[in-house]
Amino acid sequence: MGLLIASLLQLAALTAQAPPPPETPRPLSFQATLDAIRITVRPGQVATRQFRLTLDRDQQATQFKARVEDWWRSVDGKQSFYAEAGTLRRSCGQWVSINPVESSVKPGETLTIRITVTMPVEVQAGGFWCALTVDEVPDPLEAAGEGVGVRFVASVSTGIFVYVEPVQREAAILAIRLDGDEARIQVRNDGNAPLAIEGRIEFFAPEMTTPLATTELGRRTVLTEPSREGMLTAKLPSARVLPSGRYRVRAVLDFGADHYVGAERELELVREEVQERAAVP
Amino acid sequence: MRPSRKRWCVAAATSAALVPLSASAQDLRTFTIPKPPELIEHERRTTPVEREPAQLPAVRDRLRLSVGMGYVQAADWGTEIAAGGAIKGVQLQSAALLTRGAEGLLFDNGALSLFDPDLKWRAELGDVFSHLRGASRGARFSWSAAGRRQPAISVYGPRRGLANQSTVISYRDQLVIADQPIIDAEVASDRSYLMRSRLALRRVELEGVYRAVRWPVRGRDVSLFAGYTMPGGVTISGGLLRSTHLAEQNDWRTVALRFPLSRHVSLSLERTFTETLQTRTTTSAAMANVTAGGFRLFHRHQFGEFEREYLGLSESFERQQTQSAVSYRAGARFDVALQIASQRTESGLVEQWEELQATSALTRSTTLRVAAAVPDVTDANRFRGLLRQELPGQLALNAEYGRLSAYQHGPFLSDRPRFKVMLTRSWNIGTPTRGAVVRGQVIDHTRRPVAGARVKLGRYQVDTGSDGRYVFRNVPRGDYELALVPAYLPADYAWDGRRVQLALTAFTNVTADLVAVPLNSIHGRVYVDRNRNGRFDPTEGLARAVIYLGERITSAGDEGTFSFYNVSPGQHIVRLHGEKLPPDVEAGGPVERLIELEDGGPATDVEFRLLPKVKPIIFQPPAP
Repeated sequence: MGLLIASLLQLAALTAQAPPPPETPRPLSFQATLDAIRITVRPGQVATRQFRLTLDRDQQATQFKARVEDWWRSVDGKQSFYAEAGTLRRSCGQWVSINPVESSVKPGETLTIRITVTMPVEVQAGGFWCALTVDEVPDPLEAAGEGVGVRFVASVSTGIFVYVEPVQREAAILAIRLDGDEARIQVRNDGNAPLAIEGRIEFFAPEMTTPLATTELGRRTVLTEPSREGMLTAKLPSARVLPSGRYRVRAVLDFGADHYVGAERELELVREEVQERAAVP
Repeated sequence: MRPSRKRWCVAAATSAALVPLSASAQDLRTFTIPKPPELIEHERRTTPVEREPAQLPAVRDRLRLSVGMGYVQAADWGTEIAAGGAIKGVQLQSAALLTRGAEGLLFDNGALSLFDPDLKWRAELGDVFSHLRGASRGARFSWSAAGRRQPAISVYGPRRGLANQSTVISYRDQLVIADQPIIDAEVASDRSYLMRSRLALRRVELEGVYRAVRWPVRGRDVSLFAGYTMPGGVTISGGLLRSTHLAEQNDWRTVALRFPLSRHVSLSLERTFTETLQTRTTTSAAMANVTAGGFRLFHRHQFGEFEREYLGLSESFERQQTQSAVSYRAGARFDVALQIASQRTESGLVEQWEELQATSALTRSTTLRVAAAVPDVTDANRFRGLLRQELPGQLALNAEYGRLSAYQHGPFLSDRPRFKVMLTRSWNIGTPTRGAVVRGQVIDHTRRPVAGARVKLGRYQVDTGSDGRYVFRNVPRGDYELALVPAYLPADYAWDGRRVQLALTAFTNVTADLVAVPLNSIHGRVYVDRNRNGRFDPTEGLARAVIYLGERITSAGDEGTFSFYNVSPGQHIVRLHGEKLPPDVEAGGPVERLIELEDGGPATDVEFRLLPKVKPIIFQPPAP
């Protein structure tokens, strides 16, 4: 279980009428279990797991409030969206209860939130997901007195994935593109559960059987809704290793099934460095 | 071969391995590559998906059986058979050595022991030890009886190589008072018998033994021992032993004093008097024992007078002996020990003896043990080495060199260093088990089942099913605490903290229910009744009002709403913090509400009504 120092994650709640003299707000620092919670359950089963958040010792006592919400990402993976639990058809938010919902944590203390998934007896197979979001909220006693000022509050979210067998994991590569110094692989989730997809791209010179260069595709989660598609990107090797030219580009992806999927096509690569060099007499 | 952590390691994938799927119009050719089966298995084991984390008692017992065959250079062959483990809860230990040599095929030694820890019976066969007869060969059965007694019936057979023996049957029983074996007696069919009495209190230890034997010669032994531990840990002890066999009488008397100087150092003084038919010895000894971590030092200095009558002549001389042993254990992989002994008589004769012993785990599967003279470690007559190599397939090879004991005494026995090798094969065999059954249900106070609650019994855990039921089978005997695991109790329940203590045997079948408390929520609103109509209207909610539920605190949201979640059933007081209200409002009703939270659902509509303060109009009297 990975621990990550999360320091000031989300936004500022602003209540201003006449700003006071500016004070440098101190970012909240804590450690939290940010690995996604993955549970395989049977219909009708009840399962409980934990989320832990430890406030650093040099912090002040802090009030936290937890909630369950739905989340998804844009196709290019660059934006995250959050909405009320139950917004998505594959939301597990309506089955998740948490305890405590609101709690004050002293410096050095650990807040342990129990997360219980109560599966209905009749439920579709496949993967369901939602997110646990824990927000720092203003101290009720202090907030009540203030009418003025700027408060920075922190928020941290972790994914909850619930799997009901049989889980079908299937993916397809829709397109391979080279765009500047970036390679992009468009994929589609053809299964019934979120897929964590990673892989690599191999560049072959014409008629060659061993790759001239390879590059890794970072791990990305591709959901089944609202969009089944996702984009995996990788930085191309340097122009010295992979100069401009025509290549057979092969992508091989691992999405957790018992096989990989791959695709290849021939593409023309134009590198900026080469163009510049060519322009010099 | 263990697959790489890199999950999609298909560097070797070639076009030949690809299974084509399609070739689209945009010249995108797709394919699949099957994963190696070992990689699929590796991923299945390492994928971080939490499954049911039940930790239940083992459904099978284990029996480890080892069979070894060995050879001693210029001597004989031998086969060792050893077994240890349990079958149906009965503990089994067995070891035997069969040899073939100068005396033909012999069952050299061997013992089989069965012990039932629940019914407390024990059966032994083969080499058995008896305080009455010493090391014997036969069979014994003992069982648990009333009064914490452990009676036993034994049959001792004749031993190989000794004449005029007959089979003897004996019965042993005890008288136990306050857990002390006041009398422990064994009587045999050849009219030999033994009586033993032992009393161990907090500071005092007393033991007396009387033994009369008929075999191999008529004789009797009487011994008394007493020890007393004074405050501060100083121990004084003394013993008397008189042994009379035929016409020969031997006496032995000793008194010893032990001083624990510190946690690491102790000092002992001992004086012993021994008298036999022809010898008389008086010895005084001082011993020091030092332990610190892996280091241990023992030193004994002994001096005394030795008298002997031989062929009508009497001789007497004084002698001094010292013995030192120092050892160091550097963890489990290496230890070394040096022993030095010397003896000096008044004639000036000095005998010196030194030996170094070292054991080292060279690798995880190789152990080397060496004993050699010091400083001349190359002295072949004193060198002894043992190399143990664990081999694949549960095989192990033990190779020894030195002055070794052969399996049988025989004409080829020589005192020169020799080589001995033994190859052992072991098997781990699953056997039927038995144990207690603990079952029950996790319920709330209205007896509704609580599904998915984790129940802990000692080190075992299991989650309740949808009917709230749990069961632990094959639980080993012992004392256990049955409880819920709070961290894995469903979020909408709390635990009342009540635990159940259980003393289990293999035959216990117990049902125990545990109670969880269902939690609910309280929802309400704080509003400023600006139009004074006595009810909330949109835009009248007061944000940031402070509300207490016992010691819990929250503040109202933008529309004046507040909630307390995970509240146990019963009466609660919800209180509005009046001093934290904006200055332009005041309470328009009670600031405390008594809430009865029932099982059926949450408490809602807990409202606090505030009113805007009205500025008083003060009429000034007209100026004169």
